[in-house]
Amino acid sequence: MDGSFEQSFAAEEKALNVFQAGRALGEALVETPVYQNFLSALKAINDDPEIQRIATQMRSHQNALQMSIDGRDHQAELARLQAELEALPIVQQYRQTESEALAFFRAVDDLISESIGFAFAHNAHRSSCSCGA
Amino acid sequence: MELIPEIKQAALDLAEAMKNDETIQIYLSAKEAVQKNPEAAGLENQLIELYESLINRQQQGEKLSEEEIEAFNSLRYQVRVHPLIAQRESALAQIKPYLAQIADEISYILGIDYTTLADVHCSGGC
Repeated sequence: MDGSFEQSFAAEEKALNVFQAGRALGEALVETPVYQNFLSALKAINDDPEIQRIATQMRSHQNALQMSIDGRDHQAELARLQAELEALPIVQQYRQTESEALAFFRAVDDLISESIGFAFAHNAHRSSCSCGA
Repeated sequence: MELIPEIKQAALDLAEAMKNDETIQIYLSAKEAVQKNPEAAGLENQLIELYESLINRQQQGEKLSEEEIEAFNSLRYQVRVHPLIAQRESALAQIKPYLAQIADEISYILGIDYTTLADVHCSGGC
């Protein structure tokens, strides 16, 4: 058999291993209670009519803010709506599970990053965050 | 946070596969070359130390002189143009799309972008 073919096949196998290992990690992560709790809380807020009502109002003020010269009223109303949203028990529950999920995923990524010697998720991020990271 | 053994193993398996991957090895070799070169490693350490010192002083309300800022910019430029450091940065830029593809495999299973959840530099709210 042609040696170069064998080499190229071996290289392809190695490359596949990286993607297979990624998929295997995804399969292990998706089963964890911390991720399932996060997904349930996310679904709950997406399905909640009260949140939809507040979100619609917030979007309307955000649009008005973009178009108006004096946006103080809209800004004040946005802050009030944001506070109303954050006070809802369902949102507080979501924030709690989100915080746990972030800590969990960052611990996983820390382990990968320490082992390979560079920050994995940070360097795998497709675009810079709008938060400036 | 303490991870369960199954997650730890899956994370370490991925790290091991990445360390053995030819594409990623190009970057790891370039990174090692910088670490093993006293001049390049020294320049980088000097830059980090100077940056931290300037930031600390600035946070304490001290106004930095133009000479100090110029010295910092000059050192930063020396670091940037050092051949081994430039080579490492170029190698990192080249493997980033590949790393994103690996992360996509995790995200595909999760149904949510892994890097947004796991990147400590990202607040997650963006």
